[in-house]
Amino acid sequence: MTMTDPQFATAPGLDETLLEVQNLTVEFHTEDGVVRAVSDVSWDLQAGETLAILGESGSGKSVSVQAVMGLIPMPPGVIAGGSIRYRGTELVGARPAMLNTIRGVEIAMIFQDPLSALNPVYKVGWQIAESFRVHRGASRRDAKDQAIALMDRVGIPNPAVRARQYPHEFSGGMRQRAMIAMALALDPKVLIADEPTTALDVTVQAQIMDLLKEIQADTKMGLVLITHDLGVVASVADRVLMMYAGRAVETGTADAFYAAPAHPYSQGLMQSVPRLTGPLERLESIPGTPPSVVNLPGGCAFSPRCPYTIDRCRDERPHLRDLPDRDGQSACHRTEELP
Amino acid sequence: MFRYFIRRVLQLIPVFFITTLLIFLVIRLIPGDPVQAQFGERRIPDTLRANYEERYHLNEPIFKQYFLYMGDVLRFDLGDSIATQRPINDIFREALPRTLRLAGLSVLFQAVLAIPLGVMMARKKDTWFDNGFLVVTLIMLSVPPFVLGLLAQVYLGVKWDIFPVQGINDGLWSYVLPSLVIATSIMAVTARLMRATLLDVGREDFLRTARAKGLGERRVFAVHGMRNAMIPVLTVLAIDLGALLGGTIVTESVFNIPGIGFQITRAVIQRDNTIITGISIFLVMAYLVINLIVDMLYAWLDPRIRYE
Amino acid sequence: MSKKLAGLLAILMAFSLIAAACGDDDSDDATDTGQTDGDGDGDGEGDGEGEGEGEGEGEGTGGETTAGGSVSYGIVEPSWIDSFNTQDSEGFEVARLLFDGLTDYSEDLSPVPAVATEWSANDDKTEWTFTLRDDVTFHNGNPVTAQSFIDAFNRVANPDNLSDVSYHGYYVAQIEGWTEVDAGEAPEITGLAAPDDTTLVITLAAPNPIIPKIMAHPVFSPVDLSAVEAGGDGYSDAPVGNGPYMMDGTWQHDVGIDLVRYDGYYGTPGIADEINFQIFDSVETMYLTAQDGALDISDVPPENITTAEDDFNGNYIDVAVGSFTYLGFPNNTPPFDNVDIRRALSLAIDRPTIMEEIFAGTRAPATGFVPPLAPGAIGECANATYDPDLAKELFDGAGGIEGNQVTIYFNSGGGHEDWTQAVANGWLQILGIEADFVAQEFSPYLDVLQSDEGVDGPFRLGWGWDAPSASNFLAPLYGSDSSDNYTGYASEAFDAAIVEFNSAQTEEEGFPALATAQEVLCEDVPVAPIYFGRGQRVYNDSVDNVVYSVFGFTLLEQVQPTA
Repeated sequence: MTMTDPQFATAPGLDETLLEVQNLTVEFHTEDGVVRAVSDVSWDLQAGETLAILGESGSGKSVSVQAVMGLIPMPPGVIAGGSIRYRGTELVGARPAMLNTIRGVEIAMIFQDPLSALNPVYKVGWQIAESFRVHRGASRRDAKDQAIALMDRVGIPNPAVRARQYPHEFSGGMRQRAMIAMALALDPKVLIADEPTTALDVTVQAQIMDLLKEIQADTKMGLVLITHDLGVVASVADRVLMMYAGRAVETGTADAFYAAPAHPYSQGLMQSVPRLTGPLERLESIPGTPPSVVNLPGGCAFSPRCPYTIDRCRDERPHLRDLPDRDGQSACHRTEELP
Repeated sequence: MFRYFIRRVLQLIPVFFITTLLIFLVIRLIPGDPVQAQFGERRIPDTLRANYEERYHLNEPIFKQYFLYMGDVLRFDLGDSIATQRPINDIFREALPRTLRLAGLSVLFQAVLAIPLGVMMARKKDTWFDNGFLVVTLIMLSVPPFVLGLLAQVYLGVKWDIFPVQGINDGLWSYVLPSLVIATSIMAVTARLMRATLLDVGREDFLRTARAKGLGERRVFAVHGMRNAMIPVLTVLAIDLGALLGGTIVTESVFNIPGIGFQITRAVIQRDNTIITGISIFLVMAYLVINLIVDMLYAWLDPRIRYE
Repeated sequence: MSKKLAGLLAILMAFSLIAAACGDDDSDDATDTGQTDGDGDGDGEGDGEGEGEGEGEGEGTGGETTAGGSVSYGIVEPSWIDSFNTQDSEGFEVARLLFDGLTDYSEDLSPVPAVATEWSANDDKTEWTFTLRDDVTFHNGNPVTAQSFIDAFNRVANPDNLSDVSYHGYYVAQIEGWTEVDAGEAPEITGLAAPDDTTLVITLAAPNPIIPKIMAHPVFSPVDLSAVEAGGDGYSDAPVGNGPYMMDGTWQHDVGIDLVRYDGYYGTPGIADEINFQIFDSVETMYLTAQDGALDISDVPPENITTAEDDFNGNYIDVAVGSFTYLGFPNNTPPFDNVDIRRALSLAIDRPTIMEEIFAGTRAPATGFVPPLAPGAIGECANATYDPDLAKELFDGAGGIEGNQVTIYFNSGGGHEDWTQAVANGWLQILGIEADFVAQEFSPYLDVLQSDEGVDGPFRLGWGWDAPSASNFLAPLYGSDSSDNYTGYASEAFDAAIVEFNSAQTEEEGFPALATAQEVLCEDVPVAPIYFGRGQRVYNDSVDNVVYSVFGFTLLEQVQPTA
């Protein structure tokens, strides 16, 4: 069937920029008004790099990566501005036929709940093999063999038997492995993982994250990891992007971010993570709730909940500015002053 | 799964005996004399009455009658019609294939009409198309089948001469118009179901996964979407087939198709108890068997269904 | 196409469907005005008509006739076409073509020779001798002899064969020895003898002047026993007869019966090469098929009576037939034991209006106790007319009815609801009595009527003739010892008149006795006559010379295909 566009046949060089998102704005036109899920967000991804996009539910993190994959239902969604380039090719406004040569082939995605993300009426092996049959024109037997091999690669025991089973016969962790296998089928250059471990047990979470890291080490693929779990990110991410109310509020290297989060929101989040070690303390939380993206307050979206807020914050929205003492940016008027 | 199937089959046996007993009793306990019914308004000579009663065991105690009858039934002998003394097996052999053709074609046409319609209605949800056909199919559902049938006969048969007006003289073609009448009448439900399940499936995550695999919208819809959405629709169609076996009475009458419905209507009017009993038992069992098949079908279509 | 256009079309379709459903008269209101009886089409739910039969002349009625072609004729599914058990009018339509008996009826309902060339009776009319032709054959070539008739009569009488019409032998014809066979007490009918192949002697248990007419009924057709045996279980679906047409193939139940001309027939050959009976479940569908041109001759459903003549360009037939519906009175139960009450009730029924309004003229208002077409019928009986003033006078003079209440009984499913209601309305208006109704299914209804207590109010019953004579409407219904007399009426004068008729030398000589009997009835009003039946047919231009006889059958052997 469709062969991969030869344009992407060459392997990316090290440090080649795979994905470049610039000023992406995504809106949803609903009966209640226009919802701006993502406002003016920019990031990029290099080969072999892991970018973690953090934020609460409703921060727009899932929507921004779904926009990359062209998975936003349009209507009611609209990419109202910005560009998304994969290795130089513009994806915004691209024809579906073109997008389908990239999706699943060059850029792959795995989702949060593997049970609902897998089709319940087809065997797991069949679903993994589907990519081979559709994109590479492989025969049924070949595709099946490759699927079994993939299942083995991701650590599913007894892959030949498992390939003939249905998703509901798998455990949660194994399902996610199957999803990963499905995503990796055609050796994508970029893997987007949207909250891949949120629905799993803690021990399984660690296994899955290890698996992802291992595969990334092998293939040098870029990994975009969406999560709200700071703990997961720490061990895996190279760089971090923090989102709040549809905007990027902080960026930076993972190490620096964890050592000293710059934005008040990031700080608040960091403080509220319960620690296993150290003296027992009352759990801290950020007062208030995230704003509804339908009626965004003017000025800084975080200002109602921010302990450092001043008048200027309410009147004027801060832009991302370079941090004074390290690599990274923060969108706060008082960056320099804060600890 | 196999064990479940065997268990269901075994359950059919007591159900069979209980229902046949009930039908048998109810029909024979209805006031009125089936023998007299064959004679119209004339008094029956005693000797003739005696002969009839002898032949049809009508003077035995009722449970003995039942056992005698069941003995015959289990040897696949449904007895003779009281009105015409024709063996009921013969009547079945002639009538059943005709009803099967009618029911089968109706379900086929229903599928061919309702499924694409439901898909289109889902695609164009809330538009004039969607709402318009919602109304049209509801009207078709509410119009009594004999009115629809008569309209079809008059316009499509007599005035425009497209279809034969009645009878089964034109082979399978004779069944087309009556089947279309039935299909358009009941397709409202199936079309709505198709629309609803497609909309539900449309929200499912695995469609998003399929798109993320770059499969192309057509394949996403046909292979991933429809395969799931069709499950309830197919089972409903199968149930329709079972219901239609006994439900074609009016259509068979209007279009003069001598199938099962036709026979039982006449038997009821003529108080031909043996035919009424024979056909009722058959219909009950057929419906039970079809339901069992539908359950198995459902399990086969949806691997999440497991019977223990 | 754009969404808007698609939606608009959908709405238009919806509107046109609604309009069509409302505006179409044909399919309105399938409830009919008594058509479930038809002309006795259903098995006995109807007015009871359809027992009699006739074969008309057999000669072409002048003009050129060319042999050939085929005729398609609509019927509902008969119960039997084998002569030994034929009992409904549709069965007769077929059987009369397949079989010829000793005699036939002519148009004036007198008997004419068929298989028998001549006949004579002894002085007291208890022994009849028929001389047969020697050139009559069955459809399989075997000769028809006197013995063929004896075999046939025994076959009908034999209780093992479960013939529902055996009563023709011991009740209508009263052939000596038939009752004993029917009761299983004797193996053969003693009153039959065949001294040689062409002579048949019938001995009766009681005198009867109209035996030659009675013998024209298909139940008295000859049979070839070897053919019955050869045919086995399927014989009755393809019986072997001796009539102008023979079976082509076998009876396709609920579908059709095909007949083809029999070239070895002794009499005038049938005109059409083939006659195809198409079997319908409902008369409506039959009519529609005829309109479509796919059927040559069809019956007419009541809702189309008024348009039938136009629908078929004048090819419409409407004739009186020998059936009779009445409201019986329980003559021995007060207040109906008072003749003036009975007269009053009868005079208070506006028959012509009821027939027009409710039956659109498909029934003829009864003017007496015997339909005018029956030989021996006398004219109008004054007590069967509409005279509201006289009715009121008689009613009051007799003291009225206690409580001013009557209960009217009838059988359900025969379409009798409307006219009984109309009668009740008339009684309320003129006599000031209210009626309530008891409708029962036919079987239990008859049980009640036959029981010792009977009913306590007017009850509806019908009658169809077995033989074309006024006598057949009299003795069975009003004779004091008749089992079909549900009224309890017993009149010495009436019974005497009947006895006188039975001992008459010829039928015509018996007419005065029949007249006397009818006059007695007219005075006594044991029942209130309501209506006589009529039959209708329509046909396409594809056929000609379509004659519908008073017996309720089309003379199909005379029909000329034009195509």
